[in-house]
Amino acid sequence: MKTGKKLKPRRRLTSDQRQYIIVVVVAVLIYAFFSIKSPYFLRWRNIVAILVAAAPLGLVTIAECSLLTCGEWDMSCGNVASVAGIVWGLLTISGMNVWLALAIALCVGVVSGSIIGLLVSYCNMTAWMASYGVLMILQTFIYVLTDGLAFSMSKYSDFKILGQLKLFGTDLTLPILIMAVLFVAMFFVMKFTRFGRAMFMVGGNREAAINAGINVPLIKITNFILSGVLSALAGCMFVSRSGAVQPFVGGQWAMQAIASSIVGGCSLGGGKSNLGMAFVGVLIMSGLSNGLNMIGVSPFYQYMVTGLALFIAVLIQSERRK
Amino acid sequence: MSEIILKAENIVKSFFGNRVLDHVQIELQPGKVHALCGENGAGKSTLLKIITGLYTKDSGTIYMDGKEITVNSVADAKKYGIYVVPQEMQIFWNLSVAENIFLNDIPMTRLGIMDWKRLYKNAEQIKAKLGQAAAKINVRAKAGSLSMGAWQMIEIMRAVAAENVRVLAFDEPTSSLSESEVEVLFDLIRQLRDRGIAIVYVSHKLKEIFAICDQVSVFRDGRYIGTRDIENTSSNELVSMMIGRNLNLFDGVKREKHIGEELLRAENYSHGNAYRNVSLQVRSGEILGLYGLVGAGRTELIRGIFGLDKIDSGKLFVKGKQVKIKNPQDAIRCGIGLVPEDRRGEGLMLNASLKWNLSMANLAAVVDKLGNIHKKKENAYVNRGMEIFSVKSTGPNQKASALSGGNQQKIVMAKWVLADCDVLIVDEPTRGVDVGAKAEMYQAMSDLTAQGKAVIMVSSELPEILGICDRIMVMCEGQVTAQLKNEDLTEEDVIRYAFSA
Repeated sequence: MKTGKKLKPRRRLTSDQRQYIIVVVVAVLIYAFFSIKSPYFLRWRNIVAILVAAAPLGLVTIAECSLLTCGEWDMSCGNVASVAGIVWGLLTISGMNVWLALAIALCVGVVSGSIIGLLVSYCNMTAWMASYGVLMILQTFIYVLTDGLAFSMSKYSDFKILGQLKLFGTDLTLPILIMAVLFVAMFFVMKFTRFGRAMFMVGGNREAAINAGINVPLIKITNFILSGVLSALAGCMFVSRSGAVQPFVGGQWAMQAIASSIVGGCSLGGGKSNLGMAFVGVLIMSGLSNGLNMIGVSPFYQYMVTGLALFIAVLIQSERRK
Repeated sequence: MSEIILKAENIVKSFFGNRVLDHVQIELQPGKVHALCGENGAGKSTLLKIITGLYTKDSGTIYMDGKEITVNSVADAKKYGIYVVPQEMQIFWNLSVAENIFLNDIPMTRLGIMDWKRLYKNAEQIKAKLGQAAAKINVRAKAGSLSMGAWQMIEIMRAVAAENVRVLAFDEPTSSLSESEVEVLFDLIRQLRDRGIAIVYVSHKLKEIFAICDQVSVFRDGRYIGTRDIENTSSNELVSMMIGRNLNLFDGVKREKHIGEELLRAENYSHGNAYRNVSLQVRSGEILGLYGLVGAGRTELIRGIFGLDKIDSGKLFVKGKQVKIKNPQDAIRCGIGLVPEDRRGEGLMLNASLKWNLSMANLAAVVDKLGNIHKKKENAYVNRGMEIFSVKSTGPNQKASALSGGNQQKIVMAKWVLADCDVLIVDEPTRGVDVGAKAEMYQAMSDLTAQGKAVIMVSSELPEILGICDRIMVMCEGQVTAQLKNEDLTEEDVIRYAFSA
């Protein structure tokens, strides 16, 4: 008797694929709803506006999605972004070359990411605690460096390139390009490189990954540093676009990015992620905020609507989780 | 006889001063399936882990093709072509079968990019090598969506993919497989054997050993007993090789027997594959022993009775009245207590004081009229508990995690003695505790029965089953295979039933 029923591959869509289709459908429904409510919503200029607004969150989502793949996450992204923007602005005002200043600002992310990564890998601290600690420490930096006040950068024209440069004479700006390139690059890394494979192994079965000879601390620390740098870049991109340094730009980016990733099918337990779908999650977030503004919903209520929308997006996926 | 691939001699291994392997040996021949057989804790798995590099030996030598080799890690073992299909399978649920097979050796293009095409092609080749048995596996499927049998197949494919495989060891390979999957596995093992690979097969299931193995080595209490060719032995001989100890520990626990009315009766308990149509009853003043090998369904059964797991069917009677037990609260209300197998995980609040641990199963006894904890009542209650056993501690305020295993077990046991339950179920009460604490456990159980209560003791240790139980129920693969009165029984009488399905 040579049965093997259980071994037979499933012909139907896998549950993952079904889940991804649902996410896309949710996104399409949201966009369809707003385009019915407002004729301007699906105009080219507004779509560009949605994408530009999505760019910083997009970068942080790349970071969180990668970390979730390894079974970790980073709460500090928002404040890393804020501090990086502030550092960039202050150094530029002090007379430093804009691009050198930007490089130094990105180093804020390298440092914070290294600290979190080291604490998690070698001090056995949870990612939650380590990154929250860094978040709190950076909060002090924000107050000390700015007194909690915004300042204008309108005098420094180079400062605005990162956030406002128009590409190829179209409405598309540099942040959109950066986001697109980084999404594609990270997608490639995760799918086609040894490093990406190692990320999935660490998140899927840590013990087995160690036994298979994977350098788990190296993988985690690298991802935390990547998270820090992407967050810093997101913060700089944002202040450059708005032409002014605001102390608390990062706000809830970390949470929003984790939410986008989970809507896109990431698992908090690690090992499961899909960067493409996480991008759809970002589009849902950004589209919601843009659309609600457009149809005149008060900002006070937008948070509630976004929260409810997240519930719905996750609930209709979750039938598979029994 | 024929050549010997791998030979281990005088292997010694101790854990925390406890000698688990005492100068054991084994010889493996190519194209032969060699079983390592013995009771739980006989040392067969430990020996396997030493050969395959998971543990390092304290002393002894391992030879490969007559030359001495050092195996200090799994990587070392793999270098010599020694592979293992472990009990805890190392599967990445989130990766495809093909990725799981090759792990770190995924084919790359010249640019350092993963070559998915070649990956799948190589995986198909490995699959083809295993022929019919592996034909149903889709190498592109996510491992997480497949059965345990398929996972095992992945582990085997990893070894086959390595090409240098000469020794392949299986550690209790059938414990999580369905019957049809076992057939597939046996086909595979025969096929690998015919290719000249030396197979090591660790199991305590005699049926399987006779079905698949060519030779069998028996271990008992960490010692090597002997090796037999399978044609020249019988299950009777193997069983008698596996047992044989003395029972001195129980001479002190003599008690008067006053077996009274029935306290608990379970009828036709069933739960999936774990146990089917099991009935048991226990009377006042009685100790019922529940014996079986690991995986026989004993722990699952008592968890069902105590309301920890859902059951498919079954009726429960307490003192003749039928009761429904949906959760442990119900069970405690009916006067049933459970000392679980995993005391650190399930029996204790490790970070809490002994006081809290002692009073937690019966808070009703230590509260005032408003339901608040009454300090004086609790202290009195706890002090009574501390006196039941001689617990070595600094007092009721010490943390439970600071105690030794034996003393922790005393606390778990004392908790239920205090709670005054009528039927106490104890699961492997003496595992990992020292001899002195063991004797105290036995004494406590017989004291309980002297007070007219009943005890159900699940144990894998035959000496203690024979030493203190009045009746013995033997389970094998989810079914009751014997109900025995403990009069003039020998270990062989009991163990025979534990091996027969």
